Amino acid sequence: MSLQDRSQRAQELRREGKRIIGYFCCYVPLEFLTALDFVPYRIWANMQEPISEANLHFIPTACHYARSCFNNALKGYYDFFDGVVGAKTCDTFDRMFQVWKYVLKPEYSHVVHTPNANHPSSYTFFRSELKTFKKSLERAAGREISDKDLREAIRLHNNNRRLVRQLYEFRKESPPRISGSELAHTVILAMSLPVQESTRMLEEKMGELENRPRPEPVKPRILLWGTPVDDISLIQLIEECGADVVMDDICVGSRHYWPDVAETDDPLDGLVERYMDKLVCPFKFWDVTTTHRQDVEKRYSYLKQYAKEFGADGAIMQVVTYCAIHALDVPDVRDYFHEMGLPVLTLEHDYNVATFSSLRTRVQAFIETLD
Amino acid sequence: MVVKTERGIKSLNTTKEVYPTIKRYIREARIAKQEGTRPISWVTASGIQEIIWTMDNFIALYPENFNGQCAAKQISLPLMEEAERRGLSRELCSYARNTIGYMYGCKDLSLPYPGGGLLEPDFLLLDNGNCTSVHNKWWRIMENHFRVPLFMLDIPILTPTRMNRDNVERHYIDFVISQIKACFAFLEDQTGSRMDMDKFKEVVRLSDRVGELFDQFLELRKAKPCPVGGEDTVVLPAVMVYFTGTKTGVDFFERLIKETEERVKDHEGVIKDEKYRLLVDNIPPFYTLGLFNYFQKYGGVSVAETYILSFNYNWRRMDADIPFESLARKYLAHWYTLPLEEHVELVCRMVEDYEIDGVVCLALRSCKVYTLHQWTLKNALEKRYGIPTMIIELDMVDPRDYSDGQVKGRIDAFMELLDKKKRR
Repeated sequence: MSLQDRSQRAQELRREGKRIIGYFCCYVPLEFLTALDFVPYRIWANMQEPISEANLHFIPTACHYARSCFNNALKGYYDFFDGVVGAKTCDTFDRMFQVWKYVLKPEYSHVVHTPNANHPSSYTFFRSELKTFKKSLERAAGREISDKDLREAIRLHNNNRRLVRQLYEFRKESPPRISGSELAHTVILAMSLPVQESTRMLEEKMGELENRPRPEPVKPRILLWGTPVDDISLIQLIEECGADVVMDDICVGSRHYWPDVAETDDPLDGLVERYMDKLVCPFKFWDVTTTHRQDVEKRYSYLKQYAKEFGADGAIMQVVTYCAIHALDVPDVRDYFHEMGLPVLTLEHDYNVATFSSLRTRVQAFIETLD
Repeated sequence: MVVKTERGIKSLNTTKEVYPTIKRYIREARIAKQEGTRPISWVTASGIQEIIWTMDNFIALYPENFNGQCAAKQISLPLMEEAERRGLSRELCSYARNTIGYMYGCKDLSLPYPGGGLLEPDFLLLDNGNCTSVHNKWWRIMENHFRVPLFMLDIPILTPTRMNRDNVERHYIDFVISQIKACFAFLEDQTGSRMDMDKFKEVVRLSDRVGELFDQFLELRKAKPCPVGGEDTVVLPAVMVYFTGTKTGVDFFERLIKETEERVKDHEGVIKDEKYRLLVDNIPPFYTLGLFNYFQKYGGVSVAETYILSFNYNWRRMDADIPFESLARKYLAHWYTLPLEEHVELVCRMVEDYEIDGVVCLALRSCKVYTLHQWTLKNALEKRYGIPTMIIELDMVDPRDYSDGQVKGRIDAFMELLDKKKRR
């Protein structure tokens, strides 16, 4: 299925009577939606179309990704939603959600506030936020969620995440049997389906990959870092320049699929832990540690692990223009990659394929230095 | 790069006191630092003054205020370029770039810094009640540079689907209360002295009094002609930031009201012939505050500004006997934490109360949090009142995003439009 048709199945399900909830950001606890039989559908931006309608409501100097998500909504691409759920993480998505709600007046909407810091009180607060979210969804669904339902939903999502991680295993090979763009394509489709169907699709993909012959030749291996990328064009561009994208640290990718929810006696315990402690996003302000070194290690040591396990030869840090939380992390992360001995290319882009030609030259030059 | 700029020309004597008062404060800070009597902290300007003045045994300095002053002194550009050389994108908050550039390069650049420069901090205080994404990172970068302790007070936004200022869920209030307590514990640790509950109550009472006086002052500005314009009021946030919760703050606003009342009584307006009453949205360009005076050429006066509201708690009065609860409610009712619906309604009420003829939206290139929803606000105002609105694209600190000729040309056209509308 092409990415342009990614909403086809959700629209079909809606005609069959299912209720579809669009969500922003990987901090929305999908387990609650699944437990109530809502279909969670990740709200996508659009790398192929320029921003048009959204410019009437949003300043042009705001994150292209967020504006593009809203632009899709204004164009009617999300008319099949029965509601939208956001997570308060970065300021831009918060404002965009508010404008979305103000202008489009969705039938159901809710925001889960995710604390920035992890003070002891942040956990108490977040637990109440989850309970409030649960109640709000229960009202919308007209029925309650039992602990059993929630546990089952947690298991379903954990299983789904495990399969994506297994898919990533194929990228450790040299050369990998699955290209970066094919994997991104699969993951984007996986986020557009109900979790059970998403899991079936991933299982089929796994079966197919196991029998697939290794490609030739060996190419430089890239770790891709940065802002959300829900289109394969940018990854394809890197591949066309002669490299393999073998690992990512982006939220439409490993950030979403790496941590599981621990299956705890009280399911809320596991959920609080995942969404407070395990997910990674630069918006998060971790507890203050004593030295810069410790702070950097705490925040980025997983990148060292990724680079080692996936055999990265270089890192491409891509940031959509005006994303403050990522742009402010660039100097620290870049230095961290350098310390690992990885060459780094930093790209700022407008999330639009029409503007990518200038990136191509820079990517080409970077990859030549890795050969 | 030299930008054509103009200083704001003020009407009141009281507002002319502001910078000398702040200079004195900074001078005292310098002496305290030299003598080692009180530690220095760099604090976000969004408003945790009650906590600061309750402790009163350290000196708070405000990088945001410093940035505005650097811009006014026309020295921001080399500082921001220094931050950009260190890898920060030019699209990032110019406040953050200005401070970070200063932090890295102040000694090498050797510029005429306001107050002789920001004294190095012994610890950092961060609250994110008026900006989350940038403030958090910005303070973290400073913490990494200075290697000093930091406390972060995490203020949630009132989530738009279910809350407003009168209807705040209990766990939001409890969350903020527990952090105010943790903040006091941090400060006790840093300064070695205990928080005094009686003093806390007194500070909250004084803070509330400042808020009350500020509201009275806003009422006076509704008079026709307007006694005080935006070129004067843009300095008031500095008073709120430095002195909310103190007698100095209360005394200042009492003097301000007295002077304003006299002007109202004498029908003394900002200009002789007030024709158009303007509402200005967003943080002003500190490098050219004379822009406010430019409207006066056409009989336009900035009679209401949203910027100054973002430092004032104007909802319910605070009860000093329950200081934690009162403060938590105040911190949650910030201009930024309000849901958009409530924000729009507040600005609509300003349009009605101040009998506004035109709205000037300052679209700040680098301040996303205060600008992102601005066009939605503009659309709402146009739709509801048919009121002319104009957008001026510039930045609060970065002069590279300002074109004097272009901006004034657009103002000329806008004022002509207001004129035509009035004649009709």
